[in-house]
Amino acid sequence: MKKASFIHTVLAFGATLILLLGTPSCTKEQDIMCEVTFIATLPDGSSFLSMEVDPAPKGNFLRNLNTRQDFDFPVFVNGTGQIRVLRGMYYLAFDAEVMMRDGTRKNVRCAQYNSPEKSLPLLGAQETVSLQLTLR
Amino acid sequence: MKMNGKAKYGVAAILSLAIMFPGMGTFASAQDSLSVSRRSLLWNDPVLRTGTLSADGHSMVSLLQNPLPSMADVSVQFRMGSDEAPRLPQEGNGLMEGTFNATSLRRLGKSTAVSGGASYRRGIKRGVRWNSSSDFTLLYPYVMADSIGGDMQSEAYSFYGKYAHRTSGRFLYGVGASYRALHEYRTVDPRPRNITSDFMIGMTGGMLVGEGYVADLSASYRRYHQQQDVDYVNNLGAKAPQLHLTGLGSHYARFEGNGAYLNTRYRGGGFKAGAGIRPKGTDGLSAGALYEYFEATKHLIGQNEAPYVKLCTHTLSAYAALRKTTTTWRYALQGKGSLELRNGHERVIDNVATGIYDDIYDLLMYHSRALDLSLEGVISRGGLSIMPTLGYSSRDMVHRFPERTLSYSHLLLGTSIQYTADALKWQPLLRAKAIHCSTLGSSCSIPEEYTYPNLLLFYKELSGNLSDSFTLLSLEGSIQRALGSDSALRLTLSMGYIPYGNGGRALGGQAGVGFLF
Repeated sequence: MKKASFIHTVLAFGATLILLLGTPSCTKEQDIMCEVTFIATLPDGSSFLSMEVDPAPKGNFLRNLNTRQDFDFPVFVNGTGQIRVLRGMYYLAFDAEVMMRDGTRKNVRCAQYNSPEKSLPLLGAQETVSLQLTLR
Repeated sequence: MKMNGKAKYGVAAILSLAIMFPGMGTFASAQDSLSVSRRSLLWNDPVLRTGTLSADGHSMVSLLQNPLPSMADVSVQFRMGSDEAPRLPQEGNGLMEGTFNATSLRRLGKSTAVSGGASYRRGIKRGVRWNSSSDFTLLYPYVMADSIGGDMQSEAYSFYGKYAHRTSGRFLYGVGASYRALHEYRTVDPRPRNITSDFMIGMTGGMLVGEGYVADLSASYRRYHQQQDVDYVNNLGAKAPQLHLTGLGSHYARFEGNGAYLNTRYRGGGFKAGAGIRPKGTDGLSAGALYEYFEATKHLIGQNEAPYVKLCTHTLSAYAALRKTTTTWRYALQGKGSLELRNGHERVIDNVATGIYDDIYDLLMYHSRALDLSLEGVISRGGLSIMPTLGYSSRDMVHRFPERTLSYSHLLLGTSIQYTADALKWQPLLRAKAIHCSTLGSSCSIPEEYTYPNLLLFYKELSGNLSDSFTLLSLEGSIQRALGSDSALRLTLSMGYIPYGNGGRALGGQAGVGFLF
């Protein structure tokens, strides 16, 4: 009888342990990155062949508002570029040169989200952002 | 030190109980009615302490079956030390402090026991680096820091009380509460001032199992608060910015600086739940497991209390101890384990277009896992005890983007030897310990980009320290003089020395005087 009670207690103790171990964690592993598709358009709505943004000038940046981490811009082909960034709020600005389909080049500027106050949220697994370029 | 009204009443109640206990002298067992010298011998017995102290940490009713007798201990200690290669430089490389402690365990009849304690500690933590917050080990990685660091004045009060009762049947219950207040500050720029309060309340229900064992279930609830304000007072003083660290050298860059964002608050709490089984007598198997959840959110007070980081910690700890005594030999064996999983969340704060700092998203950015395992044995005969110990510990920390990692593991092997003379009037105790800590492996990877150069150097140095093996040598001696049969005076002196493999060393010592009754 004593032995049975002891075994029951040990079993109850084990069950409690399993319950405790099974207590759900407050979080699961989370994807923290966002796949961003930028679609850049010229003021007249025409499309261009390609665009590369030089990250060296200080005025060219794609910056996380909270961590202040900078990311390189993607290469734009046919007006579209893709990049993976840490999910968060971003502000960005750049001057660049686009190559048109007829081989000509144009100097453009993107200043739509150029300050922290104008930063945009990139919080989903995939986000699409339209960039309105201006000629300079 | 500010304390709200409810906390004051709680503390006063606990303190009153603690002071009241010694006067309530209806002893429950033969052990409780022994002279203070005999009771002191039992308290110093490593076999009886094995498992008993672990059980006390898990359960509120364990004091009813505690093989240690009723005892009250009021003591004053002075402690100092310095460490040339600290494993936790965020807590300083030196210490000088004085402590007042009062603890009491009393059994009031056969079915009721109470215990309580109060302590006050005042001191200086020297050479604190890359940490301006209090309770670093609880709140890491979300602490504030600057590249200057320095000494931190530290002042702490703590109180606890427990009440356990056995009903007329086979059931037992116990309740307990504890409160800790901590005030830490620096007197040169940058000047952090941290005020912490930590309150816990809990209860245990148990039952007698067969004739030899008690099984119980415990639960407790915790509230935690720390307010941290950093000031720059001297116009000619250091202007190093405060960084809101987020782990392994990363920081929340938006809020760094020495102007705004210097007033923060941790608000949090958690709970514990556990189960245990213990023998009613001295011999037998005792075991327990405890799960603890703790979370704390850090708020920017001046930015509409914006919650910008959050910490969630899960800890599972367990122990199993076996005690066996014969007329000549006494043995004990105890295995302990603890696994802590820590998750750190960084909140995305919006662009404040509305004038309000809104948190709009939560990113799980930091993980760490800490595993500690130990096996301790005790073999005693007469007043001589030998206590071999074997331990393993590992730490793995990751900050996910850009990825930063730090990991290391240690193996500990050592032994302690204790001698206590079974004397009634003058009772000496001598304890020597040697533990070797061998590094099994360590690695550290921290990118230079987005890491302050000084912080990068700090982690390189810390990584070097953590990969270094060392040996701890310590010697403790005390002499106790009985003042009649019910009270005694005890003087204690101890010192420890660590020669590190890389040439540094750590040295510490403690002296104390205590009154037992």
